[in-house]
Amino acid sequence: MSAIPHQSGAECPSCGRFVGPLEKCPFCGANVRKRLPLKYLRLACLVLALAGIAILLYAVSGASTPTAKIGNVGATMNYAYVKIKGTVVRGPIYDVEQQSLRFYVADDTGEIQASAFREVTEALVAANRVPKVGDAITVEGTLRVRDDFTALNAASADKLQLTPPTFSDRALSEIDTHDEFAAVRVRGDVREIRTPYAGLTLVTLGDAERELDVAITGDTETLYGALPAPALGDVVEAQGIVTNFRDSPQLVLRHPDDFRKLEIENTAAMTTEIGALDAARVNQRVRVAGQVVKVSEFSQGVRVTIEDATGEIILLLWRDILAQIVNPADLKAGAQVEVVGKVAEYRGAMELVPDRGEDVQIIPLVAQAAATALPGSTVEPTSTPQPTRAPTPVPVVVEIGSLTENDVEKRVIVTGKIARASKFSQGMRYTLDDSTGTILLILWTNVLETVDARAQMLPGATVRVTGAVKVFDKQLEVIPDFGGEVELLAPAPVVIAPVRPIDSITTDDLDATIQVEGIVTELTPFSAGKYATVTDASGTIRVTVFDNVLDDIETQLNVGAAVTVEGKVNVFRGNLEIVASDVTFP
Amino acid sequence: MHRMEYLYLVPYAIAGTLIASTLALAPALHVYNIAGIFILIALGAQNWIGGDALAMLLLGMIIGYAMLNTVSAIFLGAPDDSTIFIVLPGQKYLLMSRGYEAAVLTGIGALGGVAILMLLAPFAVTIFVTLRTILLPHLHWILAVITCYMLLAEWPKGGDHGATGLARLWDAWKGLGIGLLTFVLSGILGIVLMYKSPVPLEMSFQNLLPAFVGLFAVPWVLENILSGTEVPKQHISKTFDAPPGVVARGIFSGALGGLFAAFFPVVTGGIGGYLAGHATAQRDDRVFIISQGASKFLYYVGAFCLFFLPAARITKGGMAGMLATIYTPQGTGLFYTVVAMIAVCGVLSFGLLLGYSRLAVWLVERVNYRYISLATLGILFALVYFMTGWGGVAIMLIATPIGGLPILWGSRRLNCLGVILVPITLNLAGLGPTVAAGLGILR
Repeated sequence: MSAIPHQSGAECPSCGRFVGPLEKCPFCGANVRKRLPLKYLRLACLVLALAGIAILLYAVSGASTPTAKIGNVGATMNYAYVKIKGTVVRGPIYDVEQQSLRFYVADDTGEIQASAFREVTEALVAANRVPKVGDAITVEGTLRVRDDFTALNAASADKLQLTPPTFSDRALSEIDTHDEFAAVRVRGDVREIRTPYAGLTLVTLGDAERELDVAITGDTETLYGALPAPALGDVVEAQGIVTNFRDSPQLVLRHPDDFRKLEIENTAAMTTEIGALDAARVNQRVRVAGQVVKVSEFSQGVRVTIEDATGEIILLLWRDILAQIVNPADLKAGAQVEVVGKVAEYRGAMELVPDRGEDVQIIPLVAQAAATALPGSTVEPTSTPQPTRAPTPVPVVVEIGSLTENDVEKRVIVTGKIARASKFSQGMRYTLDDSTGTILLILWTNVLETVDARAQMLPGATVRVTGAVKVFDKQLEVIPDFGGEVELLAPAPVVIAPVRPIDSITTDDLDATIQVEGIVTELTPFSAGKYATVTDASGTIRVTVFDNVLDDIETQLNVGAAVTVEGKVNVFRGNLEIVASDVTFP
Repeated sequence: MHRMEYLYLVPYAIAGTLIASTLALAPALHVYNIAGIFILIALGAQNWIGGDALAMLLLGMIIGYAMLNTVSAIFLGAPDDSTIFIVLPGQKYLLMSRGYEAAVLTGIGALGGVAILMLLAPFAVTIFVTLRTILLPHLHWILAVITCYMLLAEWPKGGDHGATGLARLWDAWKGLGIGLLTFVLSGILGIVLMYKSPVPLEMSFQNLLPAFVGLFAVPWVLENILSGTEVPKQHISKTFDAPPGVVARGIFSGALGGLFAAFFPVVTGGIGGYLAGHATAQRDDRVFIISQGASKFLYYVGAFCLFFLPAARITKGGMAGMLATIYTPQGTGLFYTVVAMIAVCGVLSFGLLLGYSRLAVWLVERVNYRYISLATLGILFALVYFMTGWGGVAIMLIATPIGGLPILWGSRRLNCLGVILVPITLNLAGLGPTVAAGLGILR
């Protein structure tokens, strides 16, 4: 091993002896001038370090936080500390256990999720400054950019400013989808109260002309207390922000106090005399009480003539409404009815059109007799339904179980529940079951396209079908000629699948029907549909969208689209996925 | 066909290994900086190679770098955060003409890291997802404890020189005091970068680049230029003084630190190695060098591997952080492809380590250390300017004297990690904005 040479300056320039770090040679007394004293270097370094930080602090103390446009946030801005200005368009989503908040902010370039963690959340809640939908907001925080998701982590409660919206009085009928994010105050009577799933309460308000859903989320109730329990028929005033849900406007409450009962009479609930209903009342909602005079069937429902002492009006009941009525068999001449519906005019005749089955109350003849024992009430015989077409041969109502190959080529009317639905190259194939037997319902593509309720032709729905009996591959089929021969009597029971965070989905959920809400971050076509990668705040999952679901939504299903996916959990090649049965775009 | 669908990714991983292995020879050039350039290229030309292929290229790079950054640390004295503990024993070996042996010992440690990752892969989801769930609510205080330990575990040195008691007290405490000062100044720098970074908004993902270059790379390069160390002729030995027991002990202690650093947020390879070194109290230089090799490999590669964990997607480390902004890994198949590539590229990079160490031996004997250091300084300046503009250069210049303090005053360079430990610990504790406001950074 060679000796390590001395560094320059370690030897005396005069006598040549080793002096190490000394600045004066101990042998000859010469000054070793070439060496830079280390202590000066140390001190210089110390001074530079302190001065550098001092200058940096001074420089940045005068700088303002840069404002970022949401649409400009990209991958290279990860970890940037920025200010975002916009409007709260969704939220708050409040996690009590984690003490965290999420809400969504939009400006004119895009939308971003903002999050507040424990300390910030606690400060906001304590100060009653939780951002609510409709608030104008300025918030500072750190951007977190992921391939499929971008968020802003709010830095502190002090760096979050809110300006609440100003509400304007509007009639329910004036609100449409173009009013999205408008702050409005409306009045109406409570028509319906429902909880589609835990965490959302919908109250349907109505006035003389239309209805509107008022929504309050579980998060809002957790933060501010429960919504005062309204009763059906209560007249209330609600103020909130208009949002669109499945192409319909709804009013989102920002606070339970924004929904209050008014101590005034429910004008829509007051019974109106039939004689007072004229063209001037078209589109108004009224309550009418009268006696059934005549019932006549047509292809899409029944027309019921009702009268009171002041006049006569047609009560128009579409098939779907009829299917919702508890006792439709009691709808016979002589029965008393009480109906809330919208006034319409058709070919010069006034009609009353209810929106729901429960808006039609039928007091049957028997009940009337028992209750009032009215003698000699003149009950007209039930009118014979007239077919809208004159089919040849005349179709006959049959039970499915009674059909045999001897019935081939006969035209029949069968009613049954869809047990199975599947697509084939020329259309759709359904299995109908009426508890006496099953039969295949074949809808060729050209027929399917003319079925009004084709989107609701799902397993569980009840349909009435008029068509010719055929046999194929030893199986009986009923094949309608046109869409009007397929009537949806009752839609499939609505089973609201729970909305789940993606990261909560595990193999324990296999075959369970769930919903996820998120953003489409990737789309890949395959032979029978598309794979959509859907991402929410918690994770990512692949959604398989087969053609039968895809056909109706293909133009909307794009990367970046916000979607609500309902479907069954499945495992494909070792990965969890959802096989979509429905994809909607909130 | 499905079982083979990931095969096309193999060339990308190997290419990444070759690129990073070669770049690792350039002293002080960190793989994250090069990866940042790759990310920019990928953003500029979306889908040019596809997300999976880009991920595999970066995986290969990080494997190559984790194995071969030892070479510049030992032969050129230019460590990054994860190799700062190798420098001292490495340089000791170098000055004893055994630099090649030191490089190979770290490589053996890294190979041990490969084996540990292979063994852990089948259980990784269960282990790390469970650990994350348990630890997540406690991060702030654990980080605070680690920071306190780092600071308190440095004892006063000296204290027996000086004419007066005060002089002896100063002698004993100056290193420790400067260490604390380094930590505080680095921490303030980190807070500034978190809230008011002079780096352009569009390049925020490289916020820490100029600080790290200034704190770690430039001071060492400057020291090399100023000191003009001359390296003795190196001996390339055919045998290594590393019996199985020494190797096993080294890999075990390195695995402790490396895995901790790979998983635990904010903790870097340097801190992990430091904690593991203390926890296992290894005194043997050979054990220490092997353990540091294993630790830094597990830190870099293990952290990146966690990004591919199915249904977990743990984003730890600079590489995963950058890649996550443009890519989401999917599927168990991809995860096991990553595991397989770690084995393939790990072995490949070990082979390259042997070759490049010989090249480094040849290089340091023929090329003046100062010229290499000057060239490195130029590269670092250009890199910082290209990635972060003049704002970044300013940060680098401010960070350089802070990074020089430990070198000139004889304190721990690990204290420079205050640049990430301080702001992140404060943030996790919910105190970040308050402290920033107190410093006048946030108004």
